[in-house]
Parts: sequence; C-alpha cells; structure tokens
Amino acid sequence: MKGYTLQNDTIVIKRELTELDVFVKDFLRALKKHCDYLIVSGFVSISTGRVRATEDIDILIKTMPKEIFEKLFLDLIDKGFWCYQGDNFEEIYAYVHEMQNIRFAKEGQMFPNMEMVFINEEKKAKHYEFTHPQKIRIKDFEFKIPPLEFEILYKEIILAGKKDMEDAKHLRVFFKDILDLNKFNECKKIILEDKKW
Amino acid sequence: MVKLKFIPKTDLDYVELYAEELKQKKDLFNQQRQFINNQIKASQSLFSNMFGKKNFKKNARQFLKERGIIKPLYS
Repeated sequence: MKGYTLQNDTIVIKRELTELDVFVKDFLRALKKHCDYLIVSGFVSISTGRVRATEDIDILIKTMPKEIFEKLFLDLIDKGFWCYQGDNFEEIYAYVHEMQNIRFAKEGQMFPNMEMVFINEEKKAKHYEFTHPQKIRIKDFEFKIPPLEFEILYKEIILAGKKDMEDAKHLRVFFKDILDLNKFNECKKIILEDKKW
Repeated sequence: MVKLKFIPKTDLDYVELYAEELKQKKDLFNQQRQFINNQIKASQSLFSNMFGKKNFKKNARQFLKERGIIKPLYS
C-alpha cells in the first residue's frame, strides 16, 4: 500500500477533491490558456495528504509581455477572481515587470488566494524546477509540481521553518518508494549553488 | 488497536507517523478533506461578515494594507 500510483510518470492520488483543490483547478483552467505554471510549496504537501491550514497557494509563472498579461488578467477577472493589488491591469503589470508577487482570490472572498511568483532564467533554482515538472492527478484535476526531491530539499535547505520541515518530512515518508537519490544529488547542487547568490 | 511503528515524541514524529498511516488508511484523506473544507467555510464566513458585500474589495484591501500583505510597489 502506498496511497498513490504512478501512471506514465504521473502521480495519481485516489481521494475526493477538497474545496481548496476546486479553487486551484478553477484558477488553472483560466491561467493555462495564457501561460505555463508550476504549483510549489504548501499545496504540494497538502494535496498529497498533509493536514494543515493554508491561506495561499504559491504558483510560479514566467514574466510575460504586457499584452499576454492583459489577456490573462482580464480572463481571471471574467472567471470571478479579484486581484489584491488592484483592478487595473496597467497598474498591476508594473508588479509583473518588477517581479513582485501578486495575489488573486475569488470575488467576495479573501482566502484562499493564489500568489503569483514571477520568475526568469536568472533565478536558477526556480527555473530548474519550472522546467522539470512532475505531474500529479486527483480525480480529473491534473497539475504540475516540482520534482519531489527538489521540493523536499528546497523546504529543508532554503525555507527551513517549522512547517516547511514538517512538509518535507511528510513528502519524504509518503513518497519514500519513488524518491531518487541521484535526483536528490542533482537538485541539492542546484539549490546550494543558487543559495550562494 | 492501532500498532504504532514507534512512539511519537516530537511534532515531526507525528508528521512521520501520519504519513505512514495515510498509505494504509484511505479514510484519513476524507478526514483531511473535512478539515480543509471547514477551514475554507469558516474563513469565508468570517471575512464576509467583516467586510460586507457592497464594499468587500475596498475593505479587504484596507485590511491587507494595514497588515503589510499588500505593499506599495516601490517600497
């Protein structure tokens, strides 16, 4: 018994969707039409069974030209999301340009929210996880997360708070059978190299 | 009677034990689902009462600014 199966390199977890899953699924449905993404941090552990509260779901997105961001922003608004930072896409694009995080929640709600973290190729570690995604599926909800080994080490080495260490422990134990020592070494090198800067 | 692999002492031990149990007991996912759904419902109810419907965004942004969650762009 493992609690999950692997189907063509996709991790499949047999459980019902939570309200949090549905929120992320709705957001991704709008976002995927405009850009690529990677879900990172707490939601990775929570979606695989860790029991803890969360208010925000972190999502990595590459910086993008204004015209693409305009379409993405307007589509999200059209699908019932609101942006914490403002209602005018021109103003919000300044955040994207400066690579400052922005957040979206459902209209009339504060939490949960999606925190968009903008990246580019200069952010080596983030760029690595973004370009080496792991697929995960729960019912009809499929999304991309970092390689498990990367996520574990990033939490242990870079974030290293209490909840991060607990998240990492959860992933280490739950996915013990599929974690790869060579991948750990590869990811550790990239994370430590990035940490120097 | 549940047979534990070890006696948990720290919070990390409990996380480890839970993750081990989760592999065997699918029902734990249902409990987790209940926990998450309740948390979201409670949060929705709290903030909807705090900020009302009409000026929700305006009040929410003020609240978020006061707590440093929304920061000026060039701060």
